[in-house]
Amino acid sequence: MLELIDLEQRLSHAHYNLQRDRLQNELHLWCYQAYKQKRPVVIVFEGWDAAGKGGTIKRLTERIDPRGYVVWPIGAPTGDDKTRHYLYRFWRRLPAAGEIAIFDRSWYGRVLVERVEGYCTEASWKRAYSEINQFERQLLDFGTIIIKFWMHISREEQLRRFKEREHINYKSWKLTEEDWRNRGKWEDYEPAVEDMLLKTSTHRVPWTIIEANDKPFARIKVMKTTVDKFKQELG
Amino acid sequence: MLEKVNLKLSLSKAECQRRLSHLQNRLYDLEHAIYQAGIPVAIVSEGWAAAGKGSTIRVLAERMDPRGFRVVSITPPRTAELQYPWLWRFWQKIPACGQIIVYDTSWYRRVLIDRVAKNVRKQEWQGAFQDISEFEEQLAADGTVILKFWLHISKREQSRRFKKLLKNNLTAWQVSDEDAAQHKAYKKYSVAVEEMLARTDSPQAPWTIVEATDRHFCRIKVIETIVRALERRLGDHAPPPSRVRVKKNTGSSSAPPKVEADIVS
Repeated sequence: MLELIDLEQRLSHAHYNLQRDRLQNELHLWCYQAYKQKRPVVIVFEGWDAAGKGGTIKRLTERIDPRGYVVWPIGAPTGDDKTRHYLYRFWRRLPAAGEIAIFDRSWYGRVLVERVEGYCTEASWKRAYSEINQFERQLLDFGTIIIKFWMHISREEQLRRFKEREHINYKSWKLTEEDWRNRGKWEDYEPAVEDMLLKTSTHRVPWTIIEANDKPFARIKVMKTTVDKFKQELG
Repeated sequence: MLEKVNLKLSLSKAECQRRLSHLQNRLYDLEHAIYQAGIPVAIVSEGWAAAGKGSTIRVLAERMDPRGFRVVSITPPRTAELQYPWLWRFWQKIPACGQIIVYDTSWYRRVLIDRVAKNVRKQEWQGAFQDISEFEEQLAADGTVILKFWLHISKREQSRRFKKLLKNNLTAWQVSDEDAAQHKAYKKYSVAVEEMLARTDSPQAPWTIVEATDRHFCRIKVIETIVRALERRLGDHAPPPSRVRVKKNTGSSSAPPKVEADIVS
């Protein structure tokens, strides 16, 4: 399935700047609507290392009222999160009514990194698909707006970005040994990603795949998808 | 189902004390084993007002290591808690690995008091059965031991207890308006209780109905059920039955404790 994604899609800088401005303004207004209408919003970002999650989140939130959203970077669990059910750390980070929570990686780590690295048993990650669907259904029942993005890049593009990160000083912090290690497991991740997309894309909470080889294209598609969803839910 | 509960079951005080002592010691050892094995344990205490939930928990906790367990009292949701999906506040309170949490009333409020008192819409409490099943299933699949108790007394017994509590200034506070309302609506509550028991009983999170007219019987049954369940879960990791700890200088009245065959089994 992943090989069908058209990674050639591009957007010129002129178009990008124009659309970004318009979409950011709209996002600002829609987020206020979410607050007014007391709807919680959950936005999930998953994707390959260096696919552009961080940069996209930065553009997405740029013009939103910072009092209304929180970004949760999700790494390995620590402390209380580590000694409890894996969904506990996400339940406790849910947005209240009228708030927006953006997850930079999420509960899908259970069926991605935990599956591939063997951090949990096979039975555990196999069970997780239905647990996650149940979890998201319970959020929906409360009126939560959920948007999920898979940011997709090619393996070659990832290599190019890794090398760029190595050489540009202000980006070098973004690259760690672990990224190289994960890259070595690309083939293991692929089936995990496909299973995830297939088993957790539900009618009410579909995954949106973002063709992210071109950053301007990816960012605009994320913002546009988000605005469209807001329109549909809050309009 | 509830009308079949034999509310006449009872236990003499002496018998209760004798068995309680063993059970409490056993529970102390098991608590430590649970901690070492990293098993989360959730114990739900539900029942009629004045059925003895509070005092049973007190006896249950008496000899346990206070570092290993927590009692969580569940009240009506507060303002902030209403800003989230309804199970949110219970997820905040799930047991950690190796921790035992006793819930003095629980997420079942949703299908009991909230249902009968119409605090939530019909659609909401009906949906709660599925939410609860999924919640407990998720915790159980992760290795949590879940035990649920319904402390049962008759309407007449409840009335007797309320009167007794109200007569004494020191205990009158225990009867709240909510309790009085429950007594009035005993029939309606029974319907809700029956449906709750029928729809949320599962192998991984079973209900135990406790005949609670006699408090000695009630306490022994609850603690014994917990001890058995923890032993079952620990399997080979269960601590060996400890030597009988005879309390010295206990005076004359109580007979020397025998090793309980059914405890050691």
